[in-house]
Amino acid sequence: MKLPDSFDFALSKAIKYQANGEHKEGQLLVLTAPNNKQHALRIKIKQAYSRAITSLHQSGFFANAEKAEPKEKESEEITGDAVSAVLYASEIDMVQLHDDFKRLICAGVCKVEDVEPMTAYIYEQLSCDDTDRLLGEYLAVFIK
Amino acid sequence: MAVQISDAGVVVNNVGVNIVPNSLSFDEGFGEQSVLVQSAGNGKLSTVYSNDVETSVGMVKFSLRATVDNIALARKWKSNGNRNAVAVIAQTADGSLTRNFSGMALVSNYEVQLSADGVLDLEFRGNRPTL
Repeated sequence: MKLPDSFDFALSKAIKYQANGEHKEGQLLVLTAPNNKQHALRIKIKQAYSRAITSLHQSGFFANAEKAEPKEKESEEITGDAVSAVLYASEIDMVQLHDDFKRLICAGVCKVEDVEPMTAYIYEQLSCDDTDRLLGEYLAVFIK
Repeated sequence: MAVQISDAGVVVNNVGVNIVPNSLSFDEGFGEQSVLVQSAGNGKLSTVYSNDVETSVGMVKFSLRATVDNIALARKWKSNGNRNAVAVIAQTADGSLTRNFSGMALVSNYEVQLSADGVLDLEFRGNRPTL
């Protein structure tokens, strides 16, 4: 299956950023797939994701969830919220995962309004809900 | 008890900058005003308020340690002309202070002092800040 080159992510809360000498507000992030420049971070995040899924399989989490709410369609698309919920339900270190994700996002794979590269200053303005959703969606699209 | 602001942060083009402590200052860009006198003769004097808008320029200055990264940053800002944006942000127990400067240019021909305590004294000038 061919992965998309990029996807747009709409923030629920606008963030301030600086571009071309001006102060602006933006609500759109454009995310691109990681490449080998970010390979170490991608590997760490993928490893954390795989550990989360494995630990949840072993604990019977998915079997119980399937019993409680049977899937209607097998090909149902995985949402960012669903991935995020699964990660939180697992025993992986979410603080570490978020730290790694922040470093990845600030390493050239994300642009605000498709113009300005994401930096730590901008990332810190993201709401917690947006960050969770962004992490889940990025994993669902590029890393899973 | 009020708190003196002495540890504000500076963000230039979306990047938080590590500055030399106590080196940061800014100008509100209100410019200079003067009060002039006019005379109607026979001792009848009145005053005229004059605003020298030519001096209404925003300014931020700070110093950086002479590291490879900082020297590269200053070089990049200088080459951007006036396409730099600078924010000064401070937080104390009393509240917060933010000034956003746009259209900022590094106007001085800054020196790079390559010594044990060498710094780069940088001065940006541009539009008056917004809150």
